[in-house]
Amino acid sequence: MDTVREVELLANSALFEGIDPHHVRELAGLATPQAFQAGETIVAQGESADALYVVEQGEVRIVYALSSSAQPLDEEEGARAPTSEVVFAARERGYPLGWSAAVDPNVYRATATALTPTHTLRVDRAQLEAYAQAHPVFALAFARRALWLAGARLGTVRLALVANRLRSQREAIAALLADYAPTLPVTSPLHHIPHLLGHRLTVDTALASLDALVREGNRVEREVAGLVREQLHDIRAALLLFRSLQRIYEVVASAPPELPAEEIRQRSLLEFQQLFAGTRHIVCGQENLPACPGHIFVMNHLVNHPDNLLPNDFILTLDTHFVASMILLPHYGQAPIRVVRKSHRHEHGHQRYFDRLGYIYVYSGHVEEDAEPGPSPDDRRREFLEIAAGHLAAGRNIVICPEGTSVPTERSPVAFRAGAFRLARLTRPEPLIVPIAVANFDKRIAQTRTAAVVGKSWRLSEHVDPEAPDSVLHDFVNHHAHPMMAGMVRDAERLAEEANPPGEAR
Amino acid sequence: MAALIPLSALAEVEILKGSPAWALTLLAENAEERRLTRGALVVRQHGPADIVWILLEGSVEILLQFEVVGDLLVGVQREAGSVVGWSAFREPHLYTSSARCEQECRLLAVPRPAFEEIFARDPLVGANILRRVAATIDARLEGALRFLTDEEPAGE
Repeated sequence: MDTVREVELLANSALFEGIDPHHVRELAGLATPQAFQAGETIVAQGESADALYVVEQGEVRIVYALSSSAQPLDEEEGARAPTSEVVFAARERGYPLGWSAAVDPNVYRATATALTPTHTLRVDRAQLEAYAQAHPVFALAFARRALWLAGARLGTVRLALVANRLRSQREAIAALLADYAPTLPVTSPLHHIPHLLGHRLTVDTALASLDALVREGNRVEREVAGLVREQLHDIRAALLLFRSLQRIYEVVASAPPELPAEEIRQRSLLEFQQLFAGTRHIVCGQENLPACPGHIFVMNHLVNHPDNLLPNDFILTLDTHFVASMILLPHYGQAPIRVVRKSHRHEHGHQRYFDRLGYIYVYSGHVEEDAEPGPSPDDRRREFLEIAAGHLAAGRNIVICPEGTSVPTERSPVAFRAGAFRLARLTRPEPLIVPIAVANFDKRIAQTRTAAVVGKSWRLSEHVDPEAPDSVLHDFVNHHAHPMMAGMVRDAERLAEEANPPGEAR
Repeated sequence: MAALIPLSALAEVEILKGSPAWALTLLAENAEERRLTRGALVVRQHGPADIVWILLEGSVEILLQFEVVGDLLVGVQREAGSVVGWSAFREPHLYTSSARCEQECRLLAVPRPAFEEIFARDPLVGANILRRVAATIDARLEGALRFLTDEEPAGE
């Protein structure tokens, strides 16, 4: 970083706002650039605050961890007790970190971790204090700024408190803005913010407006916009997720017509990998995955959160795409074939997407009453089994959700249909059935931890004689396969709830 | 005007520790002791922050007041010498929360201009005072965080 940029960075940071440019130049000369890799700790809560940092580029996660005096001591680990956490994020240029270096008792109050490669300017506390002692006017101005920052942080936490009580960041922000309304100019863009935050298609506009107000608003607007912006971590994360879903849809639906379905499946799953890399998730049981592909993966199916609805009324199912992109693709190097419902005539978004992926369609006659004319249900069932068996024989994995519908995690799984198991029974060589249970993909995944559990694989013939009547198969599905999956879904729920589960990503 | 506040009492106020005698004298000459009954508002959220209050006796509830949540208790100050209304030191000089007497309180009201006069006369003395105020806010941050995670609010 060159000196001009360092001066500009400090001058535009909240910590040095309004300070005489001469002093900013001198301090920039004392500061040193310091870079952090993604995942690296910048400052750690409880440690001596011997420097402050100004973010030049990157995204940072800020966590205030509190040990709970109400929790009993852990008998095995002695003094260590569970913690509660309050989390914020920062991504704007000039964001000050470790400002406890300017406030007694000079102990970092939070842990700041780089979420992406982050470049900062480091200002050593001893040098800062020596400079302040030698320049009293600067000392006073800087103390005012440090106090301002401390007050801003307190305001942020208090607003988070309101959001917590209202169980809604948006409502808390609306309440804050309503409260400040009499002190704002009637033309202030802040009056629009609650409305813009109310729909995912206008959240972008709200964020841009807040960014502009932080830079250019009057003093009250800058204060309020800053407070609101600090609360928007979850909303920003949800917006990024939504944009990812939009992009993935277009990768598939607008793929060149000559591109083979296998290639499109692969590309879409690579995009999903990027999407899920930004979420909190945990997967257990990968050691249970068969070494080679060509098997049937059965999983419970969760409803989609309405926030994920695209403008064309189509929703990309996150649970099945998670299993395909984060479990199966990394292990087998190939995108699995999914069994999906054939689009109804009016579902143009659904059709545009799935028609390009080479998945196996099941018609609503298999699952529900079929109002469409065409082949008989028996013919369609035969066609499905032929196509699916062909994929298995070619060494491709197939993912099937035997419920034929989707429900929230808490009610999952509902009753199984027998199609997946009938396929296993009729295919030679007989494929393994690999159960995978998922949890929390029906929630806002930007704000929750999702989980997947891979169970031990088995062959249907180990449990049901291939020549046994259908009633025996149905009995097995209802009284063995379904309860087993139900137990696994509860395991996945518990896994997602654990405070610090091993193997968590992000 | 009420009787001059003893300098020794002011010297014990946390944010004024280390301040020279002339600064304490200036504050004492401008300060006024007030008694407020239980339930009385010391400062009102969004009101002009023209006065720095110093708690001498009693305890004060810190409240966030929003229409949709009513009065949200975010802290209680009990320590003698603690500051109520630190927003007087911070632009835009509007109180960010309300403070209400939990019981009968005795407080010192110091007009903001008295502090500004100290700051103008000796910036290093001013910086010391402001650093101590910032430390006070920092301590309340932890209390607010505990309250956010359903801990008891830390008393002062």
